[in-house]
Amino acid sequence: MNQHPEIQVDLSLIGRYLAGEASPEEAFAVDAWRELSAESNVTFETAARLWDEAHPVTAWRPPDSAAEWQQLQGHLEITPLPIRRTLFTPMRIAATVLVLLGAALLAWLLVPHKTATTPAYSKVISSGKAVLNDTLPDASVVTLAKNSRLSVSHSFAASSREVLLQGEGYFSVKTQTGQPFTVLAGGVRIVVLGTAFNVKEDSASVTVAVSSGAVKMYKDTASIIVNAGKTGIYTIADQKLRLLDTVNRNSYSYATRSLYFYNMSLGEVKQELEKAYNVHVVLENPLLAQCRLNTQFEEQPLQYVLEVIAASLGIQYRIEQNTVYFFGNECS
Amino acid sequence: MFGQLFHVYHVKLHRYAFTMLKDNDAASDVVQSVFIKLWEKRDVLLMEEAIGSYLYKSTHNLCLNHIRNTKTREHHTQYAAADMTPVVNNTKDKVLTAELSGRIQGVLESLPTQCRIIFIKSRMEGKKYAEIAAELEISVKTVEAQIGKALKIFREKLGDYLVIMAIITGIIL
Repeated sequence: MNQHPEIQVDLSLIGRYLAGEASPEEAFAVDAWRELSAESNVTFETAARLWDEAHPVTAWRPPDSAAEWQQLQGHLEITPLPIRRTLFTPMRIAATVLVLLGAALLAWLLVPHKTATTPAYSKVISSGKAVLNDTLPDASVVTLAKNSRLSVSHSFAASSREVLLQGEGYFSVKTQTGQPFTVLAGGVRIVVLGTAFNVKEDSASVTVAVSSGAVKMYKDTASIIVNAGKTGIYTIADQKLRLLDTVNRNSYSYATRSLYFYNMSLGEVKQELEKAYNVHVVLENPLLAQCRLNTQFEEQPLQYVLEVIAASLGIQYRIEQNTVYFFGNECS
Repeated sequence: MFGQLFHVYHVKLHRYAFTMLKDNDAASDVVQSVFIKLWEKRDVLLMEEAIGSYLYKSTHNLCLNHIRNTKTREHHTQYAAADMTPVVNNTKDKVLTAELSGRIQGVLESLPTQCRIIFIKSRMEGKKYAEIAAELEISVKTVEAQIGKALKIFREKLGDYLVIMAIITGIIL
């Protein structure tokens, strides 16, 4: 990716970039460097954020790529990608209903059915069928995945910041000196100072994916520190805490609305799309599952994401009800 | 392929163009032109490995043309205040932004004198490094180092806070 490995990216170069002094080679190197790790991207984004806020009159605003793409197509005189809307034949409807029923049954079987509430918690937030955002009394923000619940203690913010999670949630914690934020999930205690991370608790394990900052996971007397870009896993079967050197950023796309498809097969992309947009994805030609993608999306509507994927792979798609169908020839 | 290139590079090139033009709309126009040119030369260019380098160079050149043709820099530094109020989406953002401005102001005032003057000339007055160097009778390298130093001090004093702000307002991730 980096065409100019000899260019050293540091704060001076980031400064040159922000000040409009960077040569095209330097700008390219800065952008390539940002993609190297979560830390380098955070370094850049915090500097950029500071730069913008120091003089908001000339602050960069991310362009509306979907609208710009539409506008560009007008200039290119190419036919827009066909979105064929097929009439619903009885067979298709029957098939869709079957798929939906199957999915509902599977969901019912997979989702843990827990109903216990602890009296020490005063406020309970339940996400039900949709992803839910909530701001806690200390201004920390939580995004709950579907079928999850968060219980907030009576004394939250007053003495300690403690919440009980059942299911999955993404937390952006506000820093408060001397007031750690604690998440209890599946018997594991996760203590943080100010950071963003995802917690997923199910009947087999508790998974903590950290996107920035660091957290500490405790199980009884054992503990591990999970830094940005890493994942901590507690496995219930052997009661052990483990550290993984990677983090799957798509695992919390329901909260951040960002999707990363790097060298990923369409078969894998399909699963991420289903989770992020709550749709069913069908590959009419099963060989399409082997097509590979290299791209990322930040808060884009489903239709835009589908257009880019279809255009990149030279295939087509259509949407019927809540199902996306990809069709066309397999990738060479 | 063309769609994917657009998708991968659009935001990056827009940001780069913005650093040169200090104008979001002008940056959008430039990037549109970059992709129209790319489309016209697609048969030749899509084969090239170094398509990324080409796109950044093309953006740089078109920005320079834009600056030459319209003297954007002067125009926009002069009229900026009137039409470039940042878009603030909701109350939460407004409160956070106000708090952040206060903190930035505090750190700015605490910067070493030369460092502060150079940061203000570059960021607030939109001056080129060469102009600042000439005014202060120092080298461009010194200007560069002082801006880097300012960013470092800001990061040390506001680091975690900026990260969290960026996460809350959805810039990172």
